[in-house]
Amino acid sequence: MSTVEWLRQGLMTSCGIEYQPVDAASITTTLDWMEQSAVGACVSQSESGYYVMLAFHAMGMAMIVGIVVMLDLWILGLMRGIKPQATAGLIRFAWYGLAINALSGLALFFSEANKAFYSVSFRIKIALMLLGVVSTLVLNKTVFKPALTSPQLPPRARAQAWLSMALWLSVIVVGRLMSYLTAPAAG
Amino acid sequence: MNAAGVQSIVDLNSWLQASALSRFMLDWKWAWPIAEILHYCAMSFMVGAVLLMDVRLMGFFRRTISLHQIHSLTPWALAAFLINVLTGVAFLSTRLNAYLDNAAFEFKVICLALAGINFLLFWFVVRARLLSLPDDGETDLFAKSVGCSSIVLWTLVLWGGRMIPVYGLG
Repeated sequence: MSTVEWLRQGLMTSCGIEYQPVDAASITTTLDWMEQSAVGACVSQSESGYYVMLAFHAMGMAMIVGIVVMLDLWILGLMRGIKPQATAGLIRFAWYGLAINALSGLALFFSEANKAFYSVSFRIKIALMLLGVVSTLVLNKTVFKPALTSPQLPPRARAQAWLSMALWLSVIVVGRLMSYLTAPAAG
Repeated sequence: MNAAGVQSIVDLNSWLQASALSRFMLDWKWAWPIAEILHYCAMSFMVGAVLLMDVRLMGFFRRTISLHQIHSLTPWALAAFLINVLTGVAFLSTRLNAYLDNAAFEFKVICLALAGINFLLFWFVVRARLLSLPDDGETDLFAKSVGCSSIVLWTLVLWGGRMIPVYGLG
């Protein structure tokens, strides 16, 4: 048994599902390969793997969206007691949240790669998420970093904060709607 | 639970299921998704506010987040929590008995109660002590524990909530 197969067997057994060797004949695309991979199989076939990943997905989501929204409110002048020097560290925290969210999201994608890849709402969600990431990077460069040296925020900062909030909250909106617009895989 | 207790839950359950709220949640097809969206957005909002307070209580961001003003984030967290209580009641109104039988929901409620007690400790015990410290002061072990418990308990609340469908409720 190759090392890859050994790892596959280990992961599947520890997730409580029966080990099946890869069925090469049924794999025609990368999406098929993802679904048949040990990660995809464990998430879709184990008893609670899908929900465990969803739980991590929600925790990561709350971290990234929650912290970014707090930083947006800071720009709007509603967060007293937070110095501009705190923003860099808080954004780093938000990225940790995004990492948890993205890794669990990737595992969820593997479990239903064909369905997710061809889902319009999924593509819209990913697009909005990427726009959210860009907006946060831009805010960091144009508002938070300059705020370290000058107390006066740039005039466009408030509009940027509203846009950032709208983008990140819309990711949640579309993400939630996904389970109603496409048939759920498990429950 | 004694017979009277069981009876009052049965009564509450039938009263809720007959309520206009319950019928609205089940009859209008967008009611459930919209309530979920609100529940998730407010949850993120609350987690953001709570995390900021907790990390400072735990001693991070000492020089950059003001100890004396950290509790000013509380109204934001409470407002978001209120949205989640209201949307949560809307979910429960459709089948309270099924939720009460759900192990994940029970776990979530226990963690919520503990998080509530933890918040009361912060508000009535820790907050007064913080004011006697300098604005960039080092918090004591008690404050650090309250901050840490808050993060752990809210994480478990999220965990419990997301696990509800595993035990048969979607």
